Order: sequence, then structure tokens, then C-alpha cells
Amino acid sequence: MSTENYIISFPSYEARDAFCQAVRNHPEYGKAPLDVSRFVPTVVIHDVPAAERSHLEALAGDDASILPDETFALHD
Amino acid sequence: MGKYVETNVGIVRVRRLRPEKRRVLLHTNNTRRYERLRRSPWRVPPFTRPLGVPTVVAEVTDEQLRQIHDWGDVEVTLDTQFALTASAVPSAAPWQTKTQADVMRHINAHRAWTITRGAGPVIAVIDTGVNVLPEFRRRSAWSRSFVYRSPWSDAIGHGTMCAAIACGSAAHGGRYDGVAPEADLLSARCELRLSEVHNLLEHLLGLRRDGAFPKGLVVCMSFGVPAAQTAVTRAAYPLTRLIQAATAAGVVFVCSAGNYHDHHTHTPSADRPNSIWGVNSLDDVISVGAVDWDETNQRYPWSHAESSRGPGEWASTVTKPDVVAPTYGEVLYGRSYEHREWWGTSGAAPQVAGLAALLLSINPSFTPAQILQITRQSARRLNAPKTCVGEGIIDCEAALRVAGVGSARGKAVGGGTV
Repeated sequence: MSTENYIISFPSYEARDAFCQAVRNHPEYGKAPLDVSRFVPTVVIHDVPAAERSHLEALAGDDASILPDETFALHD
Repeated sequence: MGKYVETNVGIVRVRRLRPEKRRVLLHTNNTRRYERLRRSPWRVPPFTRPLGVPTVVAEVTDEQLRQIHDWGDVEVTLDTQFALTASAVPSAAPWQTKTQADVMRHINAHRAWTITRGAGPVIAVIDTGVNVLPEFRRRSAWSRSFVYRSPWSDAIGHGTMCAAIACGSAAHGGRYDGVAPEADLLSARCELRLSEVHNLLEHLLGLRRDGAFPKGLVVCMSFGVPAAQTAVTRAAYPLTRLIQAATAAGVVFVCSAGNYHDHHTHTPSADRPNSIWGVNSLDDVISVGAVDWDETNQRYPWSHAESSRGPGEWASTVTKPDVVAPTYGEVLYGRSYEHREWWGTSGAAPQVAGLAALLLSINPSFTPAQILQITRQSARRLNAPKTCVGEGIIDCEAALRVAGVGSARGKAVGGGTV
């Protein structure tokens, strides 16, 4: 099963914390590792099954911005 | 050989012309025929021992060619000259004889070193890691990797190059000095994934907020996205928020502009379209392009023409790149020194990171905005569009002067005297 990391930006810390709580209570990916930012209302969620993206979007809400992890290119 | 004939200009010697010969490749599956061809006087002596392919190169006349056709068991291919896919590179290109030391002189780093060598600030290189080499003796204990066991290793070599350019030290055993040879080096090693860079920035910002880096922190990022950011806005992009938060906390960000001015789809001399994308084009960061030894990036076939063009996807108040730096010659890559035509804009950003460290070493209270302004203001203007070279080529000595050190103290920066 392929999994993906997502970086999700929220308009507020309250929205971000509510999302984290919802993820923790979720039976499918409640144990997915979360890196919660101390400084900006952002969270990195790891190892989410690719098919679950739409569910994740619904949990995050319309005001959140969900980005799948991407790899940068070296400039050499 | 020849004969003499009488003409209206006297007796001249007439030589019999040799029939013109063609160079051909002769291929046969007839073993006996192949052996005969191999011993034939037509054959051109090979460069190497036979490799087992029953083909010989020969020079034959048309008459001999007809004879070969008559044998019926030899395939003949006329020799052809392949076209070069790129313009020929001169045999003694300047970069082949130059080194990082020449680049340091080019940006007047050697003159700045009479005032400061960058002791105090920390340069964080977010990259592929840094190899433990003598020139990196001032290694920060805050170095970190979230995916590798140690930040002090570099299987690719790119991060080591950036570190050597920013703050390598000849006094400690390196071949060349970087721009700030006495600055501390922090290796933030990753696989260049957005999530990792996000977490590394979070780590650095946390340390900064907790009181680490009292003499200043410069973050060098020589990577980026190769296309416009269509899926997300500047404000919503997670790294934008972190960079802005870190900048507000006094962290200086230096980013390579990118190498995306594509030779194949754009004219090398063109100053557009924009190819500086994502956070590398933010107003908050110093965006750095590259030029060659003649201080241009609009000349084909040199790779410097790939240096990305502004004005910058997410820039709003200034045109990107902010400045350019020269990249050419021998440089440390991985564990060995290599002569390179250019170091990409990857090799330009660490020069500005080193310059920022020099500035912070004389005044740790400089804000990122002041460092940006001094860097732009002190750059030597070039005769090229701003979308190609920004405010010009960096000048370390002039930057210190603008910052108030050296012969012209107290020049106004950012509305006040610094």
C-alpha cells in the first residue's frame, strides 16, 4: 500500500489543533506520525494511504491548504 | 613519377593524379574474407586491438569499391562525420585553469578578510550533508538530520561544496578559504523533501527562539522547485510562513535563484521569462544568480546562461535575483577537488551566505532586511538586465564599507546609520 506525507497549512492554530484531534481519533490513520509546528499553524502528517487524501481534505476543511510532499531539485 | 610537357609558359612537370579515395567501413560475416580485409593495404590502422567485431575501416578508390560490391559478402558503409550537439567548447576554457581562490578574489573576499574572517555567526547549510574534512573544523553542535544517522556525511557531495564555498578554511587544512572561513558551520542534512526542510527550519527557528546563535544565523538553501507553484499560493505555502517567522526572529535566508533558463526553449541571451520560483523568489530571502569569469550569464555555450531569470514568482517589492556571484573553476565536491565550468547557482548562494556571516561578525544586530539591503547596495553594477543579474555582482569589501567598516564608515543603510 503506497503512503504519502502531506504538509497542511491552516488559517489559524485553532483549526490546526482541531484537525490534529480529529486525526488522532480516526481509526484508519490515527497513529500516523504528526509533526506539529511550534511557530506556524502547520502540520506534517506522515504515511497516509494515498487513497485517503480526499478524506484528509474533508477533515482539514476548505480553508486549509494540503500539499503532498515533494522533493526539491539541487541547483548545481 | 610524371612526365614533362611543353606549354605556353614553358616546360612543366605533370604528375599523375592519384585517384580520390573514400573512407568506408567494411563489414563481413565471411571469416576468410574478414582475414583478407584485415591484412589488406586498404585498411586504415586501428586505434585499438580488434574487439571481435568483423569490421575494418579502409580507404578505397571507386574502382576498388566496385570490386568489393562484386564480392557480394561485404557490407559497405560510407564514413560520415557526426554533428556536434552543442557548440564546441574552446580547448583552454578559463574555468579549466581557475580555482575557488580566483572566485574569492573576484568578489573581493580577500580584501574583506583584512577586517573580518567571519568569526561568530553560524552558517546553516540545508543540503545533502557535509563530509567531515579538515576545512570544516568549526562544526556546530546544533547540526541535525531527521532521516540520516549523522548530518556529517555527504554521499552526493553538493552540500560539502556549498559549505566549502561559504566557510571552508585553508588554515585548518582545506585547499581554499571560503568567504567566511572563521564562521561556524551547521549541517542540516536531508533528502530535500519539503517535509524535511519544513522540520529542519522548525528545528533552527526553535533553537534561535531559545537563545542559540547569539552572533547570528544564516541559512543557505541551494535547491528549489523547477516550475511555477500552481497548486498553492505564496501565503499558504508552509515554507513561506516558516521563513517569514524565522526572518522576523533575525535569521538571514540565502537562496539560489535556480538553473532554469532553458537553452532549448529560450534564447540564452534573453532576460525572460521568469524562472525563479517558489520561496527562492520571496522578498524575505536573498536570491542569488550566477555569472561567469567575464561577469555575464547571457552567453552561450557557457552553462551560466542557465541562471534563472527574474522578476521572481513570489517577489512583490523587488526584482529577483537580488545579486549574482561568479562560479567557475576548481572547487571541493564531495571529497575531491574538481574543475567545473560552473557551480550552478548552488555555488553562488553560499558566497552570499558567507558575505552575510562577514557582516554579522562585525555587527550581530544587523537585521535580515539590513543584510539584504547592504548586499544589494554594495554590489557592483553590471551592464545587463536586472532580471538576469539583479543589482550586480557581490563585493565583500564594498559591503563592509557600506556597513560602516573600512574607509567609508557610517554610510546610511535602511534609513539609519549602521
